[in-house]
Amino acid sequence: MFGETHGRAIFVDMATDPDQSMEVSPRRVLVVGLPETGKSSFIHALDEVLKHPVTPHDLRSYGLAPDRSYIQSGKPKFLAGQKLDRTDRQIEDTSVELLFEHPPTGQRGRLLLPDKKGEIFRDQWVDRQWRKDYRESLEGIAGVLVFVRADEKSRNDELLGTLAKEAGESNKEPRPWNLKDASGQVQLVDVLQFIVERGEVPQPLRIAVLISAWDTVGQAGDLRPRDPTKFLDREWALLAQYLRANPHFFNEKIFGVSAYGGPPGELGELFEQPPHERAQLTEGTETMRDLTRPLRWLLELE
Amino acid sequence: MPSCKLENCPVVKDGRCLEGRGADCPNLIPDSIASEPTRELLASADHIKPIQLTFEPLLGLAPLEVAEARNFARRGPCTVVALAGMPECGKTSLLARLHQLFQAGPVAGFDFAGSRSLPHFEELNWLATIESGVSKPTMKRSSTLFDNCFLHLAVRSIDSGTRTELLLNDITGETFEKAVASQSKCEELVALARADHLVILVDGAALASPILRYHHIEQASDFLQRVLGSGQCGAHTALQIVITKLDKLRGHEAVADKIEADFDARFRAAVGSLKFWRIAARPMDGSLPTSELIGEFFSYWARTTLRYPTPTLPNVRRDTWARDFCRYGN
Repeated sequence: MFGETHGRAIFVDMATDPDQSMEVSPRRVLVVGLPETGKSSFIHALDEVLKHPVTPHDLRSYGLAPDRSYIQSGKPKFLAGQKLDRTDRQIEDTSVELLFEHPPTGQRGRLLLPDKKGEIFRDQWVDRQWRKDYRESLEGIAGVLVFVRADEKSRNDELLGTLAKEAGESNKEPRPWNLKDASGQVQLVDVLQFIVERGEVPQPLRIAVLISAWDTVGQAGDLRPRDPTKFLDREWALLAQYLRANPHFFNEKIFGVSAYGGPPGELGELFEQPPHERAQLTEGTETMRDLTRPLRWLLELE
Repeated sequence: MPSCKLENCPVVKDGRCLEGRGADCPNLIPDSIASEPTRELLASADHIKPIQLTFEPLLGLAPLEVAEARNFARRGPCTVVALAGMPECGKTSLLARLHQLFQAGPVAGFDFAGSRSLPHFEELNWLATIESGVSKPTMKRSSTLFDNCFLHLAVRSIDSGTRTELLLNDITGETFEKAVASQSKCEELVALARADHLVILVDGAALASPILRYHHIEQASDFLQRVLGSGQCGAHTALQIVITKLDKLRGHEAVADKIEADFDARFRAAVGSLKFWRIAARPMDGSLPTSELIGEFFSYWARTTLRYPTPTLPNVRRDTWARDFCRYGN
């Protein structure tokens, strides 16, 4: 079911496991994000957290998938706390499969993650088209993980106030308009519009917004809200409004996530901790190590 | 030969881009996509087996045609706003400002709820962004091709939860002048007849100039006479006279006062309502845009229609309605 036809998105598939007495109908989760929004880092951190559950009730790994060649290729850098190379768009098979179980319900599942670059979603915005098999794969998804970055601006800066006044006449030619240059939150909203208006997805659709690089929030002099929901309201306002204003389409929760626990390559004292202890997730005012929480909410496991 | 998403673009015939943008035009559909809906891609050197990829079109780039706009009008409360004025009077700046305001947060009690025109709104603002590399902020000129088209914006009242579809009809300055000159040109503006709001923008910079002032005032006045005479506007129309570029009007406020008094005396009785606004959507004197006022102005569009009575919802919780029907056997 998750062969090449689904190779352009990231899915979670909870399937029946033959060894398990409790049967679970297959359910999938789509992962959406523009380029370099932390999707690959999250996958690596999730793999580590699944292998090292903190409490007996945490979602956990119950073994290794048959093919881990793609995730293994990025492992050395992630475990060393270094920035991952960008996902190679030319590689068709970037699938990552993680096996997990949920002790409280006894359910077991498969996490299948073809880790395509965020350009797939940017291409949808620019080309105003998507692959038929991608659209078909949306049918029956359980929810969506949407990635945005805390350390990236959500919209283009305007020449306003003194900037506009001081701007003089110049012979410099402005860059011609290109859809790729549109504000990030505008692109993301349109991609979500495509999904709920053109894809046959359940309504309301559960959406977990993951604000990556969350460790950059709340440092000295940073006035941005430390609650991820309030952060999204202020910093990614168009996206926040769009989700809130369409309760028939969406049921959303907002999380802050730091897959490394700090800036990759500059982890300092964090280097002393194993990677699964560096990763952090924030919901409301609570910060925890358990990166599986958004997935458990999407899959209605809690 | 590549094709174009715009129906009347000659690029498919002679390779000329209608908007003169050449290969960079975002409406251009590359040859490989245009010629066949299905194409084959080689996955990689390791995977020689070709994969059959079929693509499906998504929401388009161009503003909505009348037929598409009707679909939105059928969904629920829908307000049509027609914006008209002389060339470079500030229509595009106003639309771009609205888009920017929603990008920063809710506007006057309304959340952004969706838009079919996001690429168009983003493009409107491009030449006023630092990212464009422009030295002085400017606005893209509207195309006469879209005189009977609409930009779509959906909003949801934070208080009541009511969703409203807004269809914004941007009549170009060139067409505005032609409509004043010719009754038949004016009658070609089919969107006007459906407009809940007619917004006439008067260039504040022109009002400050004795050379331009009288021509601009007369054109606005004649346009109103024309659309009232043709029946395209009337008692069903909420008319708004907007004096733009407030930053350039400074020192000439008395001229604006006089125009407002004159328009009030001449046109108030002929339309459903008349309001006056003075705004600066993109001031160049170092001041900031009159965002609060523009938000208030926008909320008037979203809350008001004179075309039909707005039903008052019963003062009971929505989830009790179904129970009333249950009494009758459902």
